[in-house]
Amino acid sequence: MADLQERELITRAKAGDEPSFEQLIVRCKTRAYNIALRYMRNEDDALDVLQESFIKVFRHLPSFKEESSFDTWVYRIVVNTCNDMLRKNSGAKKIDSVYAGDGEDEEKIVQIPDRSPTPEEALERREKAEMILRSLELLSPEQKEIVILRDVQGFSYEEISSMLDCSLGTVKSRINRARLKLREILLEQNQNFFV
Amino acid sequence: MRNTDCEKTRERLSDYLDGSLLPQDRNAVEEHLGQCGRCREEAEQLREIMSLLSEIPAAPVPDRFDLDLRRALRREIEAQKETEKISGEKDAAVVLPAEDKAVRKERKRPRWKIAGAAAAVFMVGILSVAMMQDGVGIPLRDLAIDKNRTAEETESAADSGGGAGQDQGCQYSIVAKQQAEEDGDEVLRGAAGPAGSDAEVEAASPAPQNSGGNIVMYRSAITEDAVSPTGSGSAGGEAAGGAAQDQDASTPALMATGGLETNTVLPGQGETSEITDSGLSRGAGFSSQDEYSRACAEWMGEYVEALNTKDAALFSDTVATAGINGYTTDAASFTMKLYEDYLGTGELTFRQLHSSSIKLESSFLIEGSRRQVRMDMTGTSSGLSASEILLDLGPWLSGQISETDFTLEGYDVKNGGSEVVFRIETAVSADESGSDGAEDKYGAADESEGNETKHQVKEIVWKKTE
Repeated sequence: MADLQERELITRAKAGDEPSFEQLIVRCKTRAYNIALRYMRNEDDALDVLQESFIKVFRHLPSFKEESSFDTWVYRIVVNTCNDMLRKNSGAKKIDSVYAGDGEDEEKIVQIPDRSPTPEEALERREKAEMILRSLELLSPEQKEIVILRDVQGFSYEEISSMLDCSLGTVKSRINRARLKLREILLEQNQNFFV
Repeated sequence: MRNTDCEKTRERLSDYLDGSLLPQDRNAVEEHLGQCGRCREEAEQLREIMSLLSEIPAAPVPDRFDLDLRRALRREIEAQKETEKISGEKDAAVVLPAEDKAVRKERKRPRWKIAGAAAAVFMVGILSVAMMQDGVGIPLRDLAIDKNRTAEETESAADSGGGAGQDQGCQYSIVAKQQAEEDGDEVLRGAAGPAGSDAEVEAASPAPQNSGGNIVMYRSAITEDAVSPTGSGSAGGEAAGGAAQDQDASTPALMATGGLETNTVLPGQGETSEITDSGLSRGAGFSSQDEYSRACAEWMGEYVEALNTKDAALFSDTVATAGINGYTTDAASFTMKLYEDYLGTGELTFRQLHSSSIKLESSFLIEGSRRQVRMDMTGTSSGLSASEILLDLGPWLSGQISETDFTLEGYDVKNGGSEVVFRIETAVSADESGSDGAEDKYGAADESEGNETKHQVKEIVWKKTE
């Protein structure tokens, strides 16, 4: 249930109060952006998705019934908008093999600051994480999104179930299949990936 | 070859690693992992994948976003204000999503019936449709709807022009302007203010360019193949292709941001062009100052729109807020009505699986034999999806088709609004190749070739009864 402050903001935002709306979305903006970033794989598209999503949130706010959490509702819109855009773009541009692509582009997409004890370890983990992210493109869209939401963004099964409008069982089986598939893909690319 | 224990463990690995297994199941998994090096290694590798992914920190939102969003919000607010202002005091237009559900239900349904399928095997289940491509279309929910137009106004408006929707449920009039008639066109017109005369309408609605003062619409191809604002790529869009190609370069003006379709309709933007085909249909290129009318009932249009958008959040909200009744009386009933009308008499039962899916079962009398049809409709992240198993129905026999996707590719209003043609695109992955050779009495279906996915567009025609 939304806390009082959130409910108050929602009421005011529904009445058309722009600052209240902005306050509402600032709370979920970063997470929403990162969902989009992992889906879209580049900053510009992610920002486009984010903007379109928030406009949709604003537009549909009157019909938001507050039975689910506002944030979850927003993330669901972001997920849908990502899928829409990916589907729309799929005719226009192909997702190339993970082996193709510019090293520079890859650097731009994922920025992973150093949090490991040694620079060498940090670099290795960073490279591995980036490789996993690239490998996500070889999963089916459903599997990719479940890994993004669960393993990258850390949403609970219940939250994901709400966002994707599928059952808990479906979420669980999908994440399992996705992780196993990801492992296969990584080993195909580099049998020493996990060494 | 992995044994059964390995397979069982494998299925539970994620649950185990996420810590969500029940104690007895967890113990079973741990026991197996203690004995099976292969599964243990797999578990460790999955754990590392999860760990690596979880370490990826959140990227900060670029600074420029806030300003861009504020601008976009301002445009949206202005657009909404303009929409409300233009619809006038008497006939307040509303934008669909904000519409009160109770009001929607009050509207009477028109009497429509299927007028003989133009297509072969009819597939029910309206899926989420590819959202309109850049500059090609605007989700219908952003279009002003003249919801308060009464039957009297409809009739009087009709009298002033041509054929009109006389049905009490049809809240739009179709006025055939003389010029349009001479051109063989029909114009759908809606009133911004009091019902009736062309002059009033024209005064209320600034004439779009190239339209001679008529309110016109043109078809936007809503297909996966359409990649440009002026093209319609699919075969199903052929009928509307000519219309779609009439869309001129003004449509990109409707886009707020480059490369991203926008739902915002700004006044004064977006030119419309007249359709020179035999029919009219909804389309892009109008401005929020333009009124339009629909030949089909407003409720049908709403449901088509609700199913015609990929904004699953909206639809999901509709599902979530309306509950099963709302769901069954809205999209599901519309869909099943379409199906039922096509196939003939049938009894439909609805059964809810959970809040976002519905199992529909029906039986039909088809050429004297009772056929059973089942369908599941589920709200998914990509919209509404329907799976259907058709039993004993032409070449689409059970076992041959395991799952079929249906897409409402679009619809056209024809013959002064007395006819609506739905274009249903199906993508079928056949499990087996070929059929049993029996003639498909409902029309030829695509030949199946192994696991190839076939796309085809079928037309279903609804005609209004007198």
